[in-house]
Amino acid sequence: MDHQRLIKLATLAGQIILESGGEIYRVEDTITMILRSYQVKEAESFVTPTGIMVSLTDAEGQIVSLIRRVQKSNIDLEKVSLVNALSRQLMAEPLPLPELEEALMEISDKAPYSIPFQLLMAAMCGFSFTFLFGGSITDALIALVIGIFVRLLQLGTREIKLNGIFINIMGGALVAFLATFFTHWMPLETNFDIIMVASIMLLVPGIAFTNALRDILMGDYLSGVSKGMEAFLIAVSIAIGAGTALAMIGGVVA
Amino acid sequence: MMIEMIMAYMASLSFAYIFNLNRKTAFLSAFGGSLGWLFYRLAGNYFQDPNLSYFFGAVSFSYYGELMARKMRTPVTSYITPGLIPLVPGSGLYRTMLQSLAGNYTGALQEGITTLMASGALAIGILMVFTLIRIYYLFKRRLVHEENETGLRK
Repeated sequence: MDHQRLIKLATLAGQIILESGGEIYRVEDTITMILRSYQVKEAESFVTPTGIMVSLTDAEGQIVSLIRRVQKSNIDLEKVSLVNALSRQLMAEPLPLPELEEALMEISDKAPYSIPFQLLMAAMCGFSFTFLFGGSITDALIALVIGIFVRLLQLGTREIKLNGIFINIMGGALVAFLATFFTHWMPLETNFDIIMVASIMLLVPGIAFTNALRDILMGDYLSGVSKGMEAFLIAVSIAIGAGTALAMIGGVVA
Repeated sequence: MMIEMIMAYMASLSFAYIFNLNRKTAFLSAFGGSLGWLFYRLAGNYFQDPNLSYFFGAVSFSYYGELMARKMRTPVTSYITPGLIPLVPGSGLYRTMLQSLAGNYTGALQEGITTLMASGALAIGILMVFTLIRIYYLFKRRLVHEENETGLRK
């Protein structure tokens, strides 16, 4: 058994889950599960939100270990689910390593939904949140348009790999600008606050925030604190963007 | 109420697709969102404290999520993340920002702590269901195991 190749593949599986927004304990479990299903003596993994450390001891007592730095990409729960299913399948019946590599590569290269479909979903998000916050149909239609623009911004900046904080500053500014545009310069009966809240939902790190608390309650303090910090910084950057835009426009409008 | 539930479903569904879930899972998981919203609103009728409503909302959608995840053999996250979406305290975050921009730091602190409490209530709700279900399955497995053993002895 080629243990160096095995540890690379197990780490790749963990990396896919971590990059796609899976929980820390799931990454650790998956890596050790994959290693154990190939009959190694000991397998250990330590995962933080930005890196994976794996070590295995084979039957002769030889230690192989691997460290991998992980860059956050975008949330993709489908990949988490697929890798999870694959690792369970390995427990029952270990695949030969080339086949495992092929399966992992296939999952890793899986394409997301088409861009028009994602835009449609972003539109639906803005639309439905307006109603949840008690807005009218006009508000909902405005939030729908803003939702599309926000998603376009997110997709566009993801292509050129901009810093996450900067993306959110731009997103906040975009939402504030468009919301003011529609409420002040259009002769419509609208509620500015509701439109802002509903369109900001696409950017808000609510998920990251709740996940951070969940990690802390589960005992993963390190990742909990760093995810909480990330959520906090995203929130602050949305606020900076929206605040700056509002202050600037406020000067023009008033 | 019916309209709100449909809207909560749509909000969850849109995020389920943005998080790239496959069609079937997204369709099923979004029900968690409207269930969570239903319980959140119902609890709001009985309790003064909004945090309790958030807690009951979280308990309902994570219970649904845990059951469905076991049934469909997918990770629980695929069900809980979309279910959480309608309840996420994004508006609190926005108001915190607005207050601090207006220079009203007392108001900002108040909104900030309210938001923090709401997220805490959601997280505790999710975690409680997670733990209880785990205990339940542990006992169930042990019970089945014991039954098998006594059966063998006979």
